[in-house]
Amino acid sequence: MPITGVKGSFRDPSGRVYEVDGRIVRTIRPSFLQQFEFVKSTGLFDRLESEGHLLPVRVINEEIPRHFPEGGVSALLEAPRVPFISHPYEWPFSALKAAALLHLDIHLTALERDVTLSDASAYNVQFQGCHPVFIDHLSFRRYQPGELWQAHRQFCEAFLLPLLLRALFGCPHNAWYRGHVEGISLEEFSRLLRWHHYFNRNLLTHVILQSWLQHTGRSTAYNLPKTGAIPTALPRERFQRLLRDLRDWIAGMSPADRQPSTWQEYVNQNSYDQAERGVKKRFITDFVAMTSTVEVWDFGCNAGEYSKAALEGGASRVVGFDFDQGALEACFKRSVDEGLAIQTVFLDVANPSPSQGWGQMERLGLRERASGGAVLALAFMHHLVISKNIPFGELLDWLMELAPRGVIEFVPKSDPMVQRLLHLREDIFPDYTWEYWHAHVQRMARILKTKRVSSTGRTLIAYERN
Amino acid sequence: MVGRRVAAMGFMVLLFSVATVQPASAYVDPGSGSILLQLILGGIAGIGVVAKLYWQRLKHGVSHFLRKP
Repeated sequence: MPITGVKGSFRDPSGRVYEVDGRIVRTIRPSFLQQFEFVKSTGLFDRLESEGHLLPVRVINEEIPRHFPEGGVSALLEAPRVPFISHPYEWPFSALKAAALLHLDIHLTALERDVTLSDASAYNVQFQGCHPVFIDHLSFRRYQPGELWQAHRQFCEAFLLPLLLRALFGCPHNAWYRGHVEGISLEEFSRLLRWHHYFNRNLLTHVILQSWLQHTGRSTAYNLPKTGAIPTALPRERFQRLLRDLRDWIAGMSPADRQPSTWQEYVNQNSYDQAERGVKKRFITDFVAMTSTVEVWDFGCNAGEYSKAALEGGASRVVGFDFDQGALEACFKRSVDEGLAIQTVFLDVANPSPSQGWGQMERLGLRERASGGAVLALAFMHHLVISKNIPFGELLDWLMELAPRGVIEFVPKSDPMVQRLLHLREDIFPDYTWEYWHAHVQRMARILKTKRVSSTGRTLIAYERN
Repeated sequence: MVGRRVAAMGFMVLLFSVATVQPASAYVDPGSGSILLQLILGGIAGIGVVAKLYWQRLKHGVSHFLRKP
């Protein structure tokens, strides 16, 4: 029976996550059992689960001897599999903000029941559509009156500073976060601040003062308590006020770069009309219904128009990928406003998320998360081929390896949008033809349907891999 | 002098309280800046600790300055 340890769970000494025959199980070690039992007895898990804030788990202790005969496991939990694990460096601003607020709300609810969160890793939050959900039951432990918030700095680096980067400077967090993996470091971020930021009370407290104390306190750190709880150091009401202040501050944050981005406006500026869009939507809806596809990955999702069409065709969920921050925000907002199961993910296809972190396995890359569903790539490939010089055939291979079926749109060179891309550069793309494309897809897949959707020659192909 | 006495008292209260409690199990490195910040936010005992730390630094700085030729 294959049991694989999930690499991202190595930090927590209280238990570990394993994959057993496709199921996700979580061990609790003897040293943490008492803490877990206490938290469970407070009713906190039941409340958070009923609110949809916490992934529900089932205790399956009867399976311990079968899966862990060597011992060392005091309890075993089974959690439902989150369909698409995403990383904070793949979230748009609004998603990171929703995750931060969820973390703080859960902590405030927990403190009322004498429970606290022992860490503030952003990876403990995952998304179901646009809804953040907390996934780590072992982060909860008994609160000791007066103890400090151990994870304050971690919260700042994992949530607060990435949000501030966009809210203060209009700079998306994604690239910087991906480089550091655990967030944006306090010391580096504080170097960006200017004198006028000193007049912001929250910035002064959580960023400027913390950074200054970090710097100057380093040499006197031997005078500080070694680790752990310090009774009466931070009375509970001050702890709660700290969390509430952060919550209010973050809730009011919005990106500083408010002008519409290129692709946010694209839906209203492209070269094809409403009727053609209707034809595309029907094609997608029919494809999803015909193939009974459950999960769709929509590359270049823009504001989620075709993601929505996939849901209307019967898909249970869509992961919408885009590299344009404005488009991602529009898609996230549509998902929230219309209650759609669209998960919005930042992705530059020319540089997709790699597997990284400890052992280069801690946070899996996009390819390692390949879907059993379908890919959509509408009005997408010509940008990568013509703007980024990605070989046409290689791009097709990459897309078709991610899922067993899909719909891809071919946009010919005669199309005004491609002409615009070619306007200032030499045409060095002899392979970019319908014939090459059609033959390439046919080599690997069965073509289910083709449909010309515009007078300029845009054509959709639905395929199923051999 | 009163300030120093308050600071020293705060520091002693803190040391005493730390010495009497087992640290909670945690795998997060809190960072000295966050600890000091929360001690300040926490109130009088914490402010005492921070004042004590920086008073020593100030004293050292002043004596260093006065000793310069």
